[in-house]
Amino acid sequence: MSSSVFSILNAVYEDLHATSAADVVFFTDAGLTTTLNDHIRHLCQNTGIAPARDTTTVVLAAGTAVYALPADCLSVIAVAINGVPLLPSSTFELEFRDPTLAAASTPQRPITWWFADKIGPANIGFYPVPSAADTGSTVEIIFHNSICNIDTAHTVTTIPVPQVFADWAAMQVLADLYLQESDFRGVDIAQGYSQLASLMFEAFRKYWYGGAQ
Amino acid sequence: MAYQQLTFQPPPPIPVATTTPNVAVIGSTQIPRAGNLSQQIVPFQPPVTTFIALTPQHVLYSGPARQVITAQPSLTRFQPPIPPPSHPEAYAHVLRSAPVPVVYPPFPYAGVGFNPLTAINAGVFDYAAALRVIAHNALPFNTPIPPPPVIGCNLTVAAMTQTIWTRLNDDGTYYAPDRVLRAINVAQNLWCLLTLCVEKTVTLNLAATTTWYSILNDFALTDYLLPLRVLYNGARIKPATLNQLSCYGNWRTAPGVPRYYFQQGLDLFALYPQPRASDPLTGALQLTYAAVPPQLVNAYDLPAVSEECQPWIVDGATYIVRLNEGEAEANVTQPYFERFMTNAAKYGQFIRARSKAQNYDQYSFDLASYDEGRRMAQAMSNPSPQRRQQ
Repeated sequence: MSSSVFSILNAVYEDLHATSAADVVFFTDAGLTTTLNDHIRHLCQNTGIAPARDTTTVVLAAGTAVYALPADCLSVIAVAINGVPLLPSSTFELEFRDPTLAAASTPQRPITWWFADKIGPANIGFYPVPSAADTGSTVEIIFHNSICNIDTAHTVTTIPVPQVFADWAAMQVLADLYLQESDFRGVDIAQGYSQLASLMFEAFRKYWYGGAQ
Repeated sequence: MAYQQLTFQPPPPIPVATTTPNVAVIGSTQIPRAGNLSQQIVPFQPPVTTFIALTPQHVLYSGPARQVITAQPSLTRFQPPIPPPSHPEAYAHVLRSAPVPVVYPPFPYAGVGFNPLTAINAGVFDYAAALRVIAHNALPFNTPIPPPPVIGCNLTVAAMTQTIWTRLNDDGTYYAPDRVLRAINVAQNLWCLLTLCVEKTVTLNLAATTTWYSILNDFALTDYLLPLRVLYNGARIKPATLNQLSCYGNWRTAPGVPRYYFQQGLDLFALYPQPRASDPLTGALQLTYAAVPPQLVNAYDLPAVSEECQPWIVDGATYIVRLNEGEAEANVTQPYFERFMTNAAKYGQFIRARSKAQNYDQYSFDLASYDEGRRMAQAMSNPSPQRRQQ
């Protein structure tokens, strides 16, 4: 279930009538790689194919309500502490319940809700505020992960997705490249790739988008 | 009945000659590899009548018979072209020779790894670490290519390639074999995505008191797409969502005989309740899943899809290989893709009906729900010559 970055790039080169990065006059290997990375990230955001489970990032501390989420977390799916699921909520709801939510000074057990709005990006909050008894407890977070580590230096050589996703990514990259302003531009070619990719994307969304939540 | 379940069993694949990974076999001579194969310099010694050049500087030669070289796995990257060859006469000989890119059985060990005759123009090769080069005597130059073999109803890669070349009035000069092969693989992947026709069943081991599993890391299923049917110790277990499982409270650590499974995305898998150490663990989980087809590599490889679907793979590949030409060139192949889509919809319907009959947990994508008109609008606004005539 992994696809080679090089095989995707080689496929792109071939369809650009080139054999290597040196042959693609209007583009660069770094540009292609960045575009590929963007599309894989887009795929994760819109189909949810790469959820992850983290049990180490968030370690509770007494009196601290807000914690940083794991890296590359797109959105939180579910949260549990010591195996007990927490309920999702929002600042709006919790402030109705407790107007002193922002002060978060009075720990009450047990922790029942988690929220992720109005506390900045990539953060998660808990209510009631963790108490001394919660200190050191780890939080299980299941979240939509973003695969966005394809670097231009090619230290990452594989993407953990099946080959059909790599085919889609190559088509999306080609659609982008053929659409760029240059003498190489081919709008109809870009449309051809884009439409074929959209067909695959519909299938991805059908199979994986929002499923099993 | 439009789609009858065929019981034909294809014969086993033709055995492939293999060597140890770091040895190049040229004829009957084994040459140990020192670093990259491109460092294996075979001296250019006249008289040489025919030869194959890996690069202009590195020539593998033989006597009167041509040697076909296949690379397994295929080349990973091309590097920039290199300066003119140090042996102009050798280079000229190669360029003069008619390209014979595919060699079919009865040379069973020849394949379509790459075509040195065209690849020579591309520059230096950067070989994969585990490259194996197998060289065999094959057809002399300018010999007519024999008709592709058909094993039962199956189409080999060679046969599909030849069909695509015939449709595009090419002989491999413009649409190189590796490019056609990639299009065939893309078409087959797309076909399997739309129909979920490739199914596999595996028996997996579980760990005691473990709820969460990674499909890739724990089960090592590299071709996994979707779960279709899950059995624990021979009994069917049902799919559930996280919300549903959360209704059981502390479900993550509840012990017992698994009754539900949870799957999110491609990799995250869980069982509820988690099996205890006293429950069956070894080979206890039987998982039927929709799989990605194995990628085709050699000329004699057979697609993973059934025989009746293989012509549609060729249709799809014909469209894909022409896609980057644009305008009329690409639109000429539009009818092939329309046929591919029509048959994918029909076959998907058949697979879906079968999945429902078997009470699978996932059904294939219903193409009736896809707005094909959006894709077709562009083709209709820029019709192919055939369509204009119609």
